[in-house]
Amino acid sequence: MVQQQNQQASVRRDLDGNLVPELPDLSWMDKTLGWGIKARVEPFGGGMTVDALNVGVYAEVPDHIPFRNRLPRGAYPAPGAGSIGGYYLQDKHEQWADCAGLLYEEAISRRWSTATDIPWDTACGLPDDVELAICQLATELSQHASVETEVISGWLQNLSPGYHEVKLFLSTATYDSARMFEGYRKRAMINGGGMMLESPGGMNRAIMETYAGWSQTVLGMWFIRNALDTTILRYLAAYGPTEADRTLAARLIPDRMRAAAYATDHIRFAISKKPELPIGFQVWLNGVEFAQARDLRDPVLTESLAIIFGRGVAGMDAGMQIVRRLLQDFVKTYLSRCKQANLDRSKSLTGPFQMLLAGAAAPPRPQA
Amino acid sequence: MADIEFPSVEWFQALADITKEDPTYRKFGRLNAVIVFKCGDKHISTNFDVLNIHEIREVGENARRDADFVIEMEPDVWRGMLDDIKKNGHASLDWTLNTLDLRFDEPIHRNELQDGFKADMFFRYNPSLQAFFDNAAKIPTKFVAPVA
Repeated sequence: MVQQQNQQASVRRDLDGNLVPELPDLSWMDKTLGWGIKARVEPFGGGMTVDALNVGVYAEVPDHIPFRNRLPRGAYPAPGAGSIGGYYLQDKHEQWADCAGLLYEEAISRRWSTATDIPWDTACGLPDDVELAICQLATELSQHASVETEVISGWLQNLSPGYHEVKLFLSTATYDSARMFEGYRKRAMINGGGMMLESPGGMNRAIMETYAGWSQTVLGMWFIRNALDTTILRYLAAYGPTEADRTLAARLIPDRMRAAAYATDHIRFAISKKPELPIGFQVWLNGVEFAQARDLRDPVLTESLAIIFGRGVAGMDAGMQIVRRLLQDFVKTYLSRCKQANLDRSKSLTGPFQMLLAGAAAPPRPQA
Repeated sequence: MADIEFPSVEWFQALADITKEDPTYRKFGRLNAVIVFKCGDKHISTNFDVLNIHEIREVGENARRDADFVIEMEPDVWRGMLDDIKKNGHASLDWTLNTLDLRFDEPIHRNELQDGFKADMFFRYNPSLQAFFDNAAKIPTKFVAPVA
C-alpha cells in the first residue's frame, strides 16, 4: 500500500491534468569547464595540431597535478575519484618540454618504414670481414634501441596524464626506438651474418636501473647514449659500405634527434623551474659518463667501426682514425646538449670523456 | 627554361616550386624552420613552413640571427655540390649535406646565437633538405662568382 502511494505521488501532471513524461537526469550536461572554446586549424597547411588545442582553459598547464589518476587536462573531475595510484610524477618540471606537442606532430608526419623505405637489395657484395663488422654494430645498435623502448614504455605509466603532450611524444619515441631495433636486426640478418656479441651492458643497466627520476633517465639515455648512437649514425650515413647502410642510418637520424630535442628542452625547463637541480644532475652525469666510458673500453664496438670505415681488417688503422674523430664528435655533441640545457659540462667533464675529446680511440683503463 | 643564376632568389624560388610538388619531399613530412643559405656575400632566407616553402628573399648579414640555422659553404663547395647533383640526379655520397657537414673543420650549419636546439633542426629535417637540393638537378643553373 505504501509503495502504491509513493508511485502515485511521483507521477507528474501538467495544469490540465495530463501526464508529464519522466525526463532523464541530464545534470552531467553542465559538467564542462570550457564549453564554447574552439580549437582552430593552423594556417598554411599546418592542420589541427596538438598545440592548437591549447586555448582557453585547455591552455592552462598547471605546475602540479594534484591527483594521481587519469583525469584528462581540462576535463571535469568525477566527484570522489581521488587518487588511484601510479602516475607519481605529478610535477610539470619532472617531465615537461615546450616542444613535445610539435615533436609529436613531426613524428607522426615523418613516419616511415624500414621494410619498404630502405633499398635492401643494395646491402650485398661486402667482404666477410666488413659484413661481420656491420653485423656486430647492428647487434649493438639494435640492443641499445631495444633497451630504450623498454625504458620509455616503463616510465610512461608514471607520468601524469595531465601533461598529455609529453605522453603523446613519448609514445612516438617508443616507436622510433622500435624502428631502430628492427632496422638493425634486419641489417644483421639480411646476408646470414645474424646477431653477434651483445654490448658490454654497463650503459644499458645505467639507463634501465635509473630510479632517481625520469629527468635522470633522460640524461643518461638521451644526452649520452643517444649522442653516441646519433654520431655513429651520422658517420654511417657518410661512410657506410652500402647504399642500404647509408640510407638506414640517414633515415634514423631525425628520429634520434627528436628525442634529443625533447631531452634538452625538458632538462632546460626543469632547471628553469628548480635552479637547484643542476647540482644533482652534474653528479648523476659523472656516474653515467663513467658507465659509458667502461663500455667503450671494450674494443668490440670501436674495432667493428674501424673495419667498416677502413673497408676491411687491412684498413683498420685508417678506419680507426675516423673512429677517433667520431668519438670526439660524440663528446662534442654531448657537451652541446648539456650547454643547450643550461647544464654546462665543459669544465666538469670526467677524465675518460676528456680523453675521448682529445682524440683517444678508447678511454684509458683505471690505474691499479 | 633559361639558365637561372645561382645564388639568387629566383634560383631558390624555382627550387621551392619544384620541391613543393615533389612526392618524395612531401613523404618526408612536416618541418618548420627558417633557413638562411649563405654563398659568398649572398644570404637567401627561406621559410620551410609545414610542407610549404615560401618567403624566399635576399636578406642582410644581420638577418642570420633570425634564422633557425644558417647553411654556409664556400662558393666552390656550393658549385661542387650542385654540379654533382646535376650529374647524378641527386647528391652522391661525398656531396650530401650530412657528408659536407662532417668533411670540414667546422660544420656547414650553425645557429648564429649558438642555440643548439635550433641548430639541431639541420639533422631533424635533413632528409627533407636533401630532397630539396636534389631537385636542383632539374634547374638549369648558371653560376656567378659572388664576392667572398
